[in-house]
Amino acid sequence: MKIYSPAGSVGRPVHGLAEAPKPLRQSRLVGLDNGKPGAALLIESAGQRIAQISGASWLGVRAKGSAATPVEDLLLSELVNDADCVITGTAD
Amino acid sequence: MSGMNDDSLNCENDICALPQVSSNVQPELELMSEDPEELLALFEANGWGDGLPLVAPTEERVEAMLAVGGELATAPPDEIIATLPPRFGQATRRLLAVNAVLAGCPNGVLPVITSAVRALTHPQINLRGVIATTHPVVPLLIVHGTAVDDLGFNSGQGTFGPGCRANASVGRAIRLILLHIAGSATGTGDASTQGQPSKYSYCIAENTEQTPWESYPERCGVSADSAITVACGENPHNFHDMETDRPELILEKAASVMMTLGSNNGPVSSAEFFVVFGPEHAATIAAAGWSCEDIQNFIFETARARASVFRRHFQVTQYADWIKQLHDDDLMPITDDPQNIRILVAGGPGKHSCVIPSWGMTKSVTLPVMA
Repeated sequence: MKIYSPAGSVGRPVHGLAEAPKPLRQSRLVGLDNGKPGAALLIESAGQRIAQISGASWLGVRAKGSAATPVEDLLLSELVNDADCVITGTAD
Repeated sequence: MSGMNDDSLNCENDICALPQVSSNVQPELELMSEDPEELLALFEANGWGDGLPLVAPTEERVEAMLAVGGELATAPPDEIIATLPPRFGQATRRLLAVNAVLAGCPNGVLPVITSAVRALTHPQINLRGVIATTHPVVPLLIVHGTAVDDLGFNSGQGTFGPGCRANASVGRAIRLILLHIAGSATGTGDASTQGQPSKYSYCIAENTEQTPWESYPERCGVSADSAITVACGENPHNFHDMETDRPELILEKAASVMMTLGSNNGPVSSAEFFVVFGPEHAATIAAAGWSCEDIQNFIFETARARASVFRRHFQVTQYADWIKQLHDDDLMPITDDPQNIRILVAGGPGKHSCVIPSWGMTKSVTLPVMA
């Protein structure tokens, strides 16, 4: 007996992970606050420490509008322009 | 449409604007027998299903689900109705029918399911967020109009509960569609910390016959014989009043349930609440001459606490500007607009009603039932 698959096809190509970053020395590092309590503090601390040990430039944390919605297009383009590497978090 | 503005009607950049046809899908999975255990094992092995037994989606059953009379009989089965995040799976009528069969739906309900999927793609639903959040939010499907009786939905006693095939299976079909097509499996798509029972099935019907006001779709500006509403929220929070004939005392109980500080709506002032009245509470309120607008305004004024209470509990907030300006001793509403308090009548005899808090960053959508 043959049956249908319930999942069907995918409408947009799934983006693979970006190429692994080169050594961070002299790169521009930016944090993205995902909007959850404590995220900005954690990311700021982690970003400063990573910059310190890697030789990267820490440019601080930017915040998206809401934890419940995707990052805004304008902020995304700013991140693409301003950063070589972005640190962020997921969930709570 | 409930709470919609012009921007939200513009689907240009949204996933609902995809006039495409998928390649004709064929039955491709092989089963050795009709044994339900074999089907369940196959689905488990692929990470599909909700853990409950399923009906095998054979070609015959899927064709029967697609082949209802009228407009839908000629609707292209492989037209893409929507692309559902986070997986961005393409939802065709045939694939919706496959999941309806799996859920045990009776033939004839596919237009209700198709319309619900269309509603889920509206930007104000924020489906990606609804699926991905750690909150237990899930889409509630409300069926209105002639479809309720025609398709056998239960709008009366126990409408949220078991015993009605249409309510149970259509609600389950929506969940299977989200699991399979949207990719909302626990862990990989759905991050809900604890989940909630309505993630198995969440479908009710409006008790129009015992609604003393205009029907819900009419109040939303939707004129159709049948309609659906999709509202993403928590499980129902019951409240009862066995004694009073005064609307204020019933509505104060609704307001007290809405005011729980544990709700996700506490830090999001634009959040919706559904207040679902049992017919007896609705009759008591209407007999005193109260309109739905009166109810919304009364609850809006009553479901409040001092602003300092909210501020003590929530540091990360999304409040309207005028709420941010309130002084600590001002009474702050749990939601920033009376229109966010959605009034519905459902259920049967008894003095119980319920409140359904939303997740905050989502608004309900009401659409006509269509192919």
